[in-house]
Amino acid sequence: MSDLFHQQSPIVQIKLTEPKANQPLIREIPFQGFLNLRGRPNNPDFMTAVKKVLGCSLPIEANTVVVSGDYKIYWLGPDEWLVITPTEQQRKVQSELISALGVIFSSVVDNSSGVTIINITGDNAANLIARDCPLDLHSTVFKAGQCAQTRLAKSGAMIAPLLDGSGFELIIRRSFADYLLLWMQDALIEFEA
Amino acid sequence: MSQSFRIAQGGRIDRDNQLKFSFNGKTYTGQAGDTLASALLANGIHMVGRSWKYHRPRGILSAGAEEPNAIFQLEKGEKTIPNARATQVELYDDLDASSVNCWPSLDFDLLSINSKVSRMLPAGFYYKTFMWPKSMWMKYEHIIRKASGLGKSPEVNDSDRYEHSHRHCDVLIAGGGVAGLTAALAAGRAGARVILVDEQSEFGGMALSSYDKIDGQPVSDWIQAAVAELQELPEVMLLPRSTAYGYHDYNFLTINQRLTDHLALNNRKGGREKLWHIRAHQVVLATGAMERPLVHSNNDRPGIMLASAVSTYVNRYAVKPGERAVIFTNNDSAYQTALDLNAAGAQVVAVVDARSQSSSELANMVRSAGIEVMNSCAVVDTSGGKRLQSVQVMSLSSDGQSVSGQRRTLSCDLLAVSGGWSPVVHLSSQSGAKAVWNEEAAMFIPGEPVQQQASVGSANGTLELKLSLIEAANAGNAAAKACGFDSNMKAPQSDAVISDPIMPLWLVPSDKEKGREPKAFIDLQNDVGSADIELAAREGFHSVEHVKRYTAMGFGTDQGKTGNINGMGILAKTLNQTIAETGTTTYRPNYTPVTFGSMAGQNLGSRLFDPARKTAMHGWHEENGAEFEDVGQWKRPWYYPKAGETIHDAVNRECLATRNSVGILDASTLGKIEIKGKDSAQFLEMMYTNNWMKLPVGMARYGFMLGEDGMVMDDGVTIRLAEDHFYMHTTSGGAAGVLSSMERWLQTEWPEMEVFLTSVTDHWATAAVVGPNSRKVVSAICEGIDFSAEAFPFMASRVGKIGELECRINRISFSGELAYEVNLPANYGRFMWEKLMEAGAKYDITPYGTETMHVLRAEKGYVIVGQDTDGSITVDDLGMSWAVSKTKVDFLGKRSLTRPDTARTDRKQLVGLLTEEPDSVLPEGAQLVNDPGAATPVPMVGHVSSSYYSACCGHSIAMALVKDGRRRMGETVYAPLADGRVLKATITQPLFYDKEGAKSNV
Repeated sequence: MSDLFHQQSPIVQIKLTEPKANQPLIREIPFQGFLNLRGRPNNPDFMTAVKKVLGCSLPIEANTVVVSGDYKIYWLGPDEWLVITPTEQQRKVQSELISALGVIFSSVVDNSSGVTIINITGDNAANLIARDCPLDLHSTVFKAGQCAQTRLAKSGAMIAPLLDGSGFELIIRRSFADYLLLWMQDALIEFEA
Repeated sequence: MSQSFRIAQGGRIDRDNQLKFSFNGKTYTGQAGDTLASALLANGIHMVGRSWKYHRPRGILSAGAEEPNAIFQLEKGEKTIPNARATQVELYDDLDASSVNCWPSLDFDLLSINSKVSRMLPAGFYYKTFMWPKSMWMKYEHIIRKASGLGKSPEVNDSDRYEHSHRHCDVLIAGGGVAGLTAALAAGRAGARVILVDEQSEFGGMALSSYDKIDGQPVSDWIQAAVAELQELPEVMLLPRSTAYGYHDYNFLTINQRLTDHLALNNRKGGREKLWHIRAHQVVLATGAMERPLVHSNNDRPGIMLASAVSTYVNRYAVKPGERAVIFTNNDSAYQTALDLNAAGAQVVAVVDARSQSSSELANMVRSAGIEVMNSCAVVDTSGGKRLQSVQVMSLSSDGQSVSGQRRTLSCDLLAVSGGWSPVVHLSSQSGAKAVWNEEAAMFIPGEPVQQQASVGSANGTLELKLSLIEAANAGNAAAKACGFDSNMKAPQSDAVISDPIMPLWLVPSDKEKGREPKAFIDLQNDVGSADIELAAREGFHSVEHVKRYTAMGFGTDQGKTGNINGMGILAKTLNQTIAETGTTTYRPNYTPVTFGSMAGQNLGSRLFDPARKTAMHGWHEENGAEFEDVGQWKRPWYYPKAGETIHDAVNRECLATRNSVGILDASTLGKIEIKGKDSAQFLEMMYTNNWMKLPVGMARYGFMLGEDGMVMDDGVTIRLAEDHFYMHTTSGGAAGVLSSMERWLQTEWPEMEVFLTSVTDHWATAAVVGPNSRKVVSAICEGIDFSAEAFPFMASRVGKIGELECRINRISFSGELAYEVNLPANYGRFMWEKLMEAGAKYDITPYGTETMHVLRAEKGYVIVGQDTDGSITVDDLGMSWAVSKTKVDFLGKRSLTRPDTARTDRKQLVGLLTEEPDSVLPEGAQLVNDPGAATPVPMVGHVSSSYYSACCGHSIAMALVKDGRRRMGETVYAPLADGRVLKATITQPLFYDKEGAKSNV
């Protein structure tokens, strides 16, 4: 769609540089579709309707992620999920969900401009995040398929280990993104030697 | 190199790497591997400072964290460090150190006169003397501060970088001596995630100063092998030069790692320190023990050192702290010091032992070496000025309470003292375990753990190496097992040593008449003597915590590490009670001082001190010269000055342009919450004070939210998108609080309601287009909406298209003008803003910031929650009781509105104020009085909450909260200002512009 051309990432004012020495690589995956989905998991109608659209059951185990084709679904709370879609599929998935759910008690809200994805990869990916995140990021504790909403540098983030083990995916709020990237750039200094 | 006290062989120093350093302006040399203290001693320097009250000469006492005397200022300017302990400062090339507490110089200190008049400076002297007259304290304080105090605070900003990191582990071990290493090996070999923390440059602790054997090999070899093995274990992290200084709840420990302090200034790269926040499943404390000095008359002269420190200087640093030494002890361990000195070629004049007999293997080795052992004896006094010259010895009674016989003078330049050992129970105590007095060993040992924690080795009172290793291995195994690892490491082996028991000796008796004896110091850093403790007890201070604060015992940078237990022993004796009954003062973090830099980390400066939230149009605002204002964490454009404009000029221009043509405001920061579900309207009925059931779809309504106390908490406009779907605006600063409050009510009180909330604050970019030409501007870029006044009335919401993008337009006004809020997803925020600027160009569309927004709304009397309210203001106080339903059965805060104080009619109420002089702007926050000439205290009747110059009205306007204000229209109040002026103002309705409301109704 032509209007996609007019989009600007939340970190448009940040210049990401190539990593030096032991620095991890920081990259934005911009402009994904983000749908906030709420409903009651003990309502089979809700679960079935959602499964029909997304092709998989919603994760009901706390802090887990399910991948279904192009979609990733993050558990946010006992009745709340984040559905990430490719940019161009967001409207389609949103309207399919809304129509499949009909009068079932639920809510499907587009938050695509409200967050962005930052991937941190490389040897010191965990160490960079650990500079100001109280979560245990060790691979035996925080594994691929898990996710957690936590504090990161006085802001918040959803953090999930990347499925290939190369680092972490961070989903951060737009208004905090510029600050968080400035923080990360400062944090990188520790690893430049 | 001079270093004339350097022993020719041995030690762990690097003899090939000589370093220069400067002390009090004079240059010396030392070797790599030295501490600043060992390097000074190698140069024969003992006297390093003056005590802070009496300015007595003081020397190096210890070789570790407990040092009370050798406290230096290191370096100058941006690298300066006040109060560094020379015993823990690793020597580096060109180190610059100077003494604190001496003026004008260390050798010639004018304030040493205090020592001569010390009888007039008892405990509590400052409290007693300088409090009268009270008004003079500020003057006294100035002089006292000059005379005392330790290092100097830096005068320029610290140029260093400080790192932070969080970690979790299975087993955290504090203390990397042989016990800590053993526990680490046990847990580490089992595969547990282990963090081993040690404050020294190399692991090994006290064993680095000894010739013990473990598993048949010299202890230094065993240490080397243990460290090498730990380094190879992937889940083990070693943190040398790191002090575990705080043990908090839930096994959370704070650890400060010194990364570069050991390097020459020009070789330092990267962060100076790193603060580790570590949460551990299990903690093993292997923090060792500290030796206590003995408290006898004149026990503070340079040349008097802890016996274990003497051994450390001899064995680890190859430095002879003296040529002629006397050992004074009440236990076995100092005998080793006699042997160490003897082996180093120093003359050991005698071992003075308070105990009637000493017959252990160690004591007999000393006798075999030809050293005189004087049992049942005590050092009762010493002589010397800037260095010890001799000690006086007398016979001591078997109960330690009196001395008798002739004074025998032993000439010496070193007195090595040992009053027994105190386990370092600081971390265990901080963790919540109350230290327990062990009468037999005469020491406080760690109490029963209250967290997942164990103490081992000397830290647990187990001074003997063999037993210490067993304890450590057991604790390491147990900690790993508790984390699910199979761990059965056998303890390393060491030979058993049998010692004679200690004879507790808290205060060495004097042969002088009570009250006439020379000072015997307990706390060297704070100049607290035994007589001060006795005086405090006589004056009624019986709790050890009170005695501490009255005498200052245990304050200062060393926190009484050497002196406290002796002081408690003396207090117990004075009060005729046991030490167990006396107890200890509370051990609090931090174990040793921590730099502010370490605590601050990189949370500094305008970028990183606090998150700065930015809107999608932030870049545009910057490029167009906006000044920014902090609103909560948001950066909002404040005003957009053109060249040469003051804020006043810019705001006047922005106001007039908006009222006369069109202005544009970035309103993206408003909180936005989607509310969905069949009970949404009912839910809003509870949250807001007004009615929501009958609001038509596509229409918006303004509402107040109250706290349970009936006070205004937040306000905003909420739109009905569908029967079961609303879109709520909150204040910019209140968004997070409103969302969590609403979620809490839904989850805890009204779970039966079918309502879901979703925050979309960050998703939408919002531009408020305001002014008579706003309709033309918005309709020019937005298709699919009939913008006519009839089809799109005030407080309506419509969906249209900007290009191919779906947009939402809300006809809402916070200015009294015709106005539209245009919303697009924030990824398109800048695109939308630029489209509006382009469309508005022919109307000279003027971007405006929060200052103009405030003026425009104040002209109309619209309130800002948090500015015109402060949590104690009701809707009625604001004169807006029309917004509170009289018919609803319930809403949050309703019950509180009928409380007598909330319901009374003469509360502080919102009014307008017009100053007598149109150009005088009342300061916000100014207090208002009825009669500025009244006798003080002048009764205050209210305060100014909002105040501006209004270019549209041509005079200043203000809003104020005035007692019974609504009944006082037309009356006069006065604002007496700090600069002496008194501004006169008339109370009016809070409405100054377009009083009929015609401008928004077009």
